Order: sequence, then C-alpha cells, then structure tokens
Amino acid sequence: MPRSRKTASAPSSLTVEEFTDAVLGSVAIAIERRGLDRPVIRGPIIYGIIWWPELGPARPPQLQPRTTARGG
Amino acid sequence: MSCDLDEPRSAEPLLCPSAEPTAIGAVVLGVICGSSGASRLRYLAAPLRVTDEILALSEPVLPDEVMRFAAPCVEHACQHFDGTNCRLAAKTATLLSPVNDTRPRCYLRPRCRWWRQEGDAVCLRCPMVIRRNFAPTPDQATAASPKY
Repeated sequence: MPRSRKTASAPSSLTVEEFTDAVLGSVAIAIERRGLDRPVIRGPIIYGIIWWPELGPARPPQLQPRTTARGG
Repeated sequence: MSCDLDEPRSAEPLLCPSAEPTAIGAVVLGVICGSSGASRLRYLAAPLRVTDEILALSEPVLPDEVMRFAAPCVEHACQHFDGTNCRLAAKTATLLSPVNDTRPRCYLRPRCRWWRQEGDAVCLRCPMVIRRNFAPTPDQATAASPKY
C-alpha cells in the first residue's frame, strides 16, 4: 500500500478582507500551542532575526532613519 | 491597508521573512493557520504595513505567534548571519522537511533573503516556520539555534 504523501499544494493567498478573521482564528490555535492553561516549562524558540546581545534593543546603524545634515 | 513593496533594485536591502513585528519597515507576510500540530503560514496576497491595530489583533498572545513579518535583513547585527549568508535559511532548507509540493505564492520572493540564497528549497519549507514557537519540533528548535 503506497504511503500517503506528507506534502500538499500551497493554500491560496489571503486577501486583506480575509486577514482579520484569519488572525482571530490563529490566536485560538496559538493559545492551544502555547498551553496557557498549563505551567510554562520553558520559553519559546525564536525562529528569525536574533540580535547580537551587545547591540541591545537599538536598531543597527544602517536601518536608522537618516538625520538631516545641519550646516554650521 | 495594503502597501506597495518596491520591485527589486540592487540598492534595496534583502528582506528577512521571519522578522520582528516591531522592526523598522516591517510588513505582514502572512497568518499562521491550521491546527496547533500542523500550523502553516497563509501568505498575504499583498504586503500589509504593520500598525498598532494589527499588532493588537493577536492579544492575548504575541503577534509573532500568529503572524509572520518581513523586514530588512540586518545582516551583521543578527546572530544568524555569517558574513555572507543567513545560516538560518540554510538550516531551514536542509533540516526541515518540505510541507508543500509547490512553492507558495509569495509577494516577498523577489526580495527575500532566504529565497535569494537557497532558492525554491526554502520556499517549500517556509510555511511551517513560526517565529515565536512554544511547541517547536526538534528540527525547528535545532535550526532556530544560532549555536548549531
């Protein structure tokens, strides 16, 4: 018997009109995933940008808004 | 509510598809949908500029538990950047299993750091990424660690 495929076709894109309802539905899933009704044993993983600690919460220089040069 | 995302230009920074919601220039990439055991990203058809109202929609959980955000790659300011490449993108393409047969429609792709580096292989896995994940798979936890 062939094994069922684990992959699927990509779902359709969300429109702006569908966005709010999708987020509200996702919140309920996130609460279940987080297990708010259970004691938190460990924190979450962060899958994405992780700043170098020494930079602190500040954004790196290349992303700071440019300041207007003032003449003397 | 939607906003324009420029066509790729050589001077434009590449965008991280798993950025902080509060990053400068952040836009919503999509919404995490599905069950808690098989959550997948549904990509927005067009970029949506982050606002306080959008971030507040996720309460009582945090925005990056239920949405994905894109923002300029910060390169050397990020622990995943090795000076040339994003190691998180490489680990995503190699450690995680594909979840789609075809790559999803994604407005970010022309300027996506991950796709520019890893090609379609990472697009087939990207939908399973949740930035702040309280129930990661072992492979996701390994890939997400800058120490690996």
